[in-house]
Amino acid sequence: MGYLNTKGVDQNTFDVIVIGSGISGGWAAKEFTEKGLNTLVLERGRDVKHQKDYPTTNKMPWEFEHRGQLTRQLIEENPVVSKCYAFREDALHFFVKDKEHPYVQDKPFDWIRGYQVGGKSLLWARQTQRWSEYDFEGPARDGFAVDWPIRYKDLAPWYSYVEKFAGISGNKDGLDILPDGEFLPPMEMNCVEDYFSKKMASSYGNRPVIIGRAAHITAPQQIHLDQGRAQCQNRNLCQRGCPFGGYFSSNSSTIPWAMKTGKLTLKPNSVVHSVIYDDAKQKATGVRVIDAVSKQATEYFAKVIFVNAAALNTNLILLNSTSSRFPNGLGNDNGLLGKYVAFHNYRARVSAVHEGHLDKNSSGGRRPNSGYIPRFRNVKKQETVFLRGYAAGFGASRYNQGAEGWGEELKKGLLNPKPGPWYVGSHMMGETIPKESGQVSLDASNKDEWGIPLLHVNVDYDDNDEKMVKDYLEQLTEMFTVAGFKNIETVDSKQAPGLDIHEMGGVRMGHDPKTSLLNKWNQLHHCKNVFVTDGACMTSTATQNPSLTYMALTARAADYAFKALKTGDL
Amino acid sequence: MDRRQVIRHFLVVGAGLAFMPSCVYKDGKVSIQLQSIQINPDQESFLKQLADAIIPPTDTPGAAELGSHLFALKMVDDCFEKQEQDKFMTGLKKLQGKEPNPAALMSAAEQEKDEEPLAFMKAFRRLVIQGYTQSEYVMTNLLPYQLVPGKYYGCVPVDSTTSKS
Ligand SMILES: Cc1cc2nc3c(=O)[nH]c(=O)nc-3n(C[C@H](O)[C@H](O)[C@H](O)COP(=O)(O)OP(=O)(O)OC[C@H]3O[C@@H](n4cnc5c(N)ncnc54)[C@H](O)[C@@H]3O)c2cc1C
Ligand code: SF4
Repeated sequence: MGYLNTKGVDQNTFDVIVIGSGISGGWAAKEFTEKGLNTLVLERGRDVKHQKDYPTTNKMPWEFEHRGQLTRQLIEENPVVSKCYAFREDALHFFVKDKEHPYVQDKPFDWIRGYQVGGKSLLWARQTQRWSEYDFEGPARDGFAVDWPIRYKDLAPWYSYVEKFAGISGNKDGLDILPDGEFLPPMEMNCVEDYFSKKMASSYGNRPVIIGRAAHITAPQQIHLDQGRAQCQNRNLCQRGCPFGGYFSSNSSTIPWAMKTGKLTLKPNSVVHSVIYDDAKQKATGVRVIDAVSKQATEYFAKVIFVNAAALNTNLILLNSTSSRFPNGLGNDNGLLGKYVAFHNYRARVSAVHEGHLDKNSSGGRRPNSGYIPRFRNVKKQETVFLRGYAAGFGASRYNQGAEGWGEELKKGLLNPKPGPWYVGSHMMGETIPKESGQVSLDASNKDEWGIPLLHVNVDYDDNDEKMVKDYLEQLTEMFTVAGFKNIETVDSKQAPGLDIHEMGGVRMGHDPKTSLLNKWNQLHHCKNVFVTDGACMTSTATQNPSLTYMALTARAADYAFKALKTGDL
Repeated sequence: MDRRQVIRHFLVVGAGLAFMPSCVYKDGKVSIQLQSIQINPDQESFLKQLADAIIPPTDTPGAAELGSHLFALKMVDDCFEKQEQDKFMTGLKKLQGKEPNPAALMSAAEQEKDEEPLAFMKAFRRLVIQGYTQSEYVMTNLLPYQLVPGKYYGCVPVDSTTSKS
């Protein structure tokens, strides 16, 4: 580490430090600043200001040199991130390029990252479902991982709390597997999605097909207008950043909100190297930061530290936070830090053609959402040869037919497009079982430009995942057949873990300090003023897109930390 | 603005052709800078004629006027794999000089099972169509693209969605 900046300790002292400004860090910043605490958010990437720093947001299709497509050179230089569907000409600038931040794949793992103010909240697909009781009780019922120290009732009020502010559109479907939230009006299903939903309801009873619940403002409430956000206009160009603030991102929502309180200090280009532990005080006192540009080291101090660097980077920071008390990483007495990392299995897809409903189409906006099939396997009891189950996306759409011929005939065809048949498609989102072998660790010798050890990722599918892929393909094929869809095609992409972008665990929650790292309030068992509320804290993965749960856990933990600070417990 | 005026406006401003370093044809020079593939003025002129034969000018501009052949070259240059590029170029070389009649060239290539000309014709057709339909002119005047479309209607009769003048 370079020269240590010894600016007055006072000047570098805050009530709370939040590491990372993505979905979870943004929520921590909002909660603490609203409660009046001086809060420092340290973000390793550059600043991205809402509206101002969305350079492509109002570009027309023809303004992109390659009409959105990636060049050969970009793909060659970025074998990992170029696999992400959203890494396109219009949103390149919000993704980490492979060369910029290397890591070591002990097994293939596509680590997709966004290093900037807002993190991946600018890029996410905004699907937001609550967990249910069946998800929290999973590990205890099925005997894997450890028991979650919380249940649905502990998180339910916090789901409500974050949903109201973030703005979640959805339909009240009344499903116990996917509890309803504080919904703004749902987006519409199209005719074929609606047809499929009704067909499944009459054929199965327990396989509902619903419209996705998504973090889009379909009808702005006062709380959204107060944030300066407006109604979603169905542009479906969200990954560029939305000028209307139509979807939830840290940039459009939590960060400016926190800024307005006057209590937020946001420091971009600040790479957190490690958390400082004071042996005498028996707690963490602050963090070491390397300036991303100058590489100069600085220390910041606070009573409470929230680690929200996104799951794997949170593991990295804690593993790198060594002291004589914690030689193996902060809070890591049991040696489990970095272990039981899991993810979502997105390998399989099914597609088909629907020959009916040719007199109907969708029109107007480009709906930034699709249908959703909640988990229907092993919900109330174990029924299959594999543990747990999968949720699935479901969507139907009609594309214009290609025009035939040459010359004037072709031109006429192109200028008078006719809709082709309906295509239907589904993709799986499988729960994976966290295992001790699913692990991240630090390289013993190789460091990055900022003097931080490279991360090794050693995470893989197992037999349970293989069985689940098979079942998903069989069941969706059956469901599509029942619906009368034709030309059913199944794909197992065998894509590596990571591309789901739902990596979780490594710093799991649990009752027992011997088998977990965090308690039920997301505090490190052995270093109570350090909290982890991003994906790293997840004991199991369920099938829901995870970010809404990170938001709720963060708001809940921040509330607890605030109260503990007031009573002197922290 | 009526259609003619729009066209004139378009020609004057030349907007939307941002990828063209120079739209002026100088003797012995091609009008686009390429990195990996090389083309000569004869080939460019062949591609231009072929583009116009694929989508001809009528009361609205054809593909060449909208720069679709140059867009196609840009895509081949930047986005095609080396192998696809080679096929495209070999195909082009085999066809250049022939009459730029796409239907005839295509059926000849199909009959002779001549791999490269076939690959060239398929790729060029696709890219010319893309360059044309995703040009500023077409997306502004003929099939307007809505950047901010607003309300989504999930289920409407087809007739109400396809009535394009
Ligand atoms: C294309 C795409 C689609 C997705 N779709 C969905 C979806 O539909 N639903 C869903 O729930 N989730 C989705 N996700 C995942 C979602 O984006 C993440 O779960 C979410 O952003 C995680 O929030 P976070 O706060 O943990 O991390 P992030 O939002 O990634 O923020 C972490 C921040 O920490 C910073 N940081 C990292 N290391 C350090 C350090 N050492 N020092 C300082 N700062 C640091 C990073 O730069 C970053 O800004 C998607 C992601 C992508 C990319
Ligand atoms: S779909 Fe909605 S949120 Fe996304 S860019 Fe458009 S207006 Fe914004």
